Amino acid sequence: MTVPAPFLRRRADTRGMMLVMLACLGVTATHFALRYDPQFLPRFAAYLALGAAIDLAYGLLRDGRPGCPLASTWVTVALLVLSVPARMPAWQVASGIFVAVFFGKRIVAPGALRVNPMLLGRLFMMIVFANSIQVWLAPDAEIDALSSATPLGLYAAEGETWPTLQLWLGEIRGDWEGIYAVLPGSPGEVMPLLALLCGLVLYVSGVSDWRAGTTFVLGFGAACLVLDMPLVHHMSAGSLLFTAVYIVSDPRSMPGSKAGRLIAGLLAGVLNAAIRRHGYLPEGVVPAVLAVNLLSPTLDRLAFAVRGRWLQRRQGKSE
Amino acid sequence: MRRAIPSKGEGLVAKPEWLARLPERVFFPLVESVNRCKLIPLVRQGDRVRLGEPLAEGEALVVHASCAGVVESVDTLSISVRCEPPANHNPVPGKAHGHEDLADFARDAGLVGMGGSLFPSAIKFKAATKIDTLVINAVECEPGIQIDEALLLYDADDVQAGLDCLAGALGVRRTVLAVKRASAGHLAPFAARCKADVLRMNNRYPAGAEKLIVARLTGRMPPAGVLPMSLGILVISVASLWAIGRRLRLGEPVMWRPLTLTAPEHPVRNLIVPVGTPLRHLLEVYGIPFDPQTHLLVTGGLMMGAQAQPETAVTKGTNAVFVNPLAVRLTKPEDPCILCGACFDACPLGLHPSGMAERIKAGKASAALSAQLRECFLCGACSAVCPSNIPLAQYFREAKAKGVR
Repeated sequence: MTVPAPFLRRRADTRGMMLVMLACLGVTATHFALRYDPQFLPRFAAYLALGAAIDLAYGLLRDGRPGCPLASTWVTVALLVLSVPARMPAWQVASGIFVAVFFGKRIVAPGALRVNPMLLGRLFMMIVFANSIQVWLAPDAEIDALSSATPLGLYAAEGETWPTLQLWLGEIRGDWEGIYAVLPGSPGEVMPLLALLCGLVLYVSGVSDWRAGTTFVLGFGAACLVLDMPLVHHMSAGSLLFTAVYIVSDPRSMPGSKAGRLIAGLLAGVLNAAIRRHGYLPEGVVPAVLAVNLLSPTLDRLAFAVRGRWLQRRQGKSE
Repeated sequence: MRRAIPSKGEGLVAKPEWLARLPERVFFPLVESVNRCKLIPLVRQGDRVRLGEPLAEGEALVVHASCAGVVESVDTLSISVRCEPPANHNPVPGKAHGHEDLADFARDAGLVGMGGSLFPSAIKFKAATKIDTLVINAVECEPGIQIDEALLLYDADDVQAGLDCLAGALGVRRTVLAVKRASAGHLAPFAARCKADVLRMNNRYPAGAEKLIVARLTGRMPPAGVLPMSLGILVISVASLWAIGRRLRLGEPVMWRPLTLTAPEHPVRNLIVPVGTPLRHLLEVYGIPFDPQTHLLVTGGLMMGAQAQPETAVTKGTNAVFVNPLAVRLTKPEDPCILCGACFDACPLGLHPSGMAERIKAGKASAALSAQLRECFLCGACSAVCPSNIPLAQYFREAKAKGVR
């Protein structure tokens, strides 16, 4: 047995990284359950179990024996469940999970196409269940109102903003001029402050990279200013920070190189803002990030070639 | 904060101690400087040798007996000497007055690059014609090694004697002591004594790489293939200076090797060991258990060293011996790359390790790949941080050996 150098390993393995991520998502889910909807936690657990079951079934189909559930499957499922309405019909969520895990994670992800499996699942749900993915049922709706809306939906419909501090702390309830009952959005996005804290934990524990998330927020902010959108409101409402922390920082679907990450994050941010401003969707994360995911391999290749060219020129000078 | 390999050792630097008990036998490989210098034995089986007597010689190097005794065997690969306790040392103080003498002095003393390169110093000194800056490399960035620092703290006279001689002979204008920022404080007195400027390097591996020291010194990263010497800079290790100093002050050739011995649940020891001592003897003297199933024996550093066997002998370049308990983890198979980017962050040269490995595996040669491969000096930081256990440095080593161009 000959082992090549180096004889030192710094970090936890891939599984350990995924478990830290899962812990952060678990805290987010618990937070939503405690503050808004106690029923969410058992549903969340059941969806995770479903994800594991799909992994087992996939193993059975492919190898004839149950496969070991991947920690990253749970991360995909948790992200998906945290980004759709908490009271969305279970069978619809389940079919989204099936698409994300079976199709996105197991079939597409190992191949050359590097798209985020969770976003693939959500895209499917947005197309097939276009109605119910936008219905934000109030867990405790007692207010007489014509309709209900999340702060982002309220802004899209009426151009009204909700107080910033309340958005950051997730204190979103009440009504707007007797017309709309204002409701929290999907479980992941209700408290941007919590997402930010989790992002810090993920960075400090060495699980995720700061680059793409940071340029995503910066690009989004810059585009907001250019497109004349209320910057602070867009930064606080909706899933901007949740996306920056959990989705744009996904390693496999984003470029691996440092420069590639900076550029991809920036592109996704600008695209997201443009969709919010001009598109049909009030949120726009899914198409923005998926589009950038398609560019990831190209960005990586470009970064590699540019670096190589630069080194070549330097080496040429010295000879 | 993340994905870095800290090079600061723990606790105080231990004082170097002489090996408590002489080994039974010492071994001298005759392939020490492979392809650079052929060594021809000067002794025959059964000869009685004194301490410090030449055993073999080559164009640029002499090998000396590190203990008195009887030559047991001589073959094309190695000489072994059975040690006898009474050490009748017959010192021959050496001198080097100017640059012309320096190469001969280094050859007769058996001096090699003791930072681990084992490159015969005679060749290096002969080529060093226009040197204006002498850099003492005391960075010791490999985690857990502290022998250079120990020599500077506790044996400064020998190091200083070596430094004065070398600086005088080369006629340098400036001496620089390169240290880790964390050790700058307690090495400052030594720098002041030698009137050397202190160059603070960061506390992360591989800050002590010659290339990075030169980059810090000149403000520009030297391109691949450019020797510091062509920029007027000579980088030398603390242990080499120490050996030169002992040659000057006591007349000893290079026959002792200062090294750090690290084992789990044992205090870190700094030892001065006869060259040629088998590692098994070190483990026995200090009561260190070694189980080949769970432990690896590593010489030269955890990052760029090599796996050794208990029979392996200490060479002039062995700056550290580790008993490493990670055998199980280090032999884990490689997982698929998840492009987490850890290797990109870890590479001190800003290369694209995962991209390089991917292209090497796919057999896709390109100008960009070979340019990056040429720069890589195999520090192994990428392998060490990879959560998927991909032996990136090993891929690069093989590709370099195959000459992927």
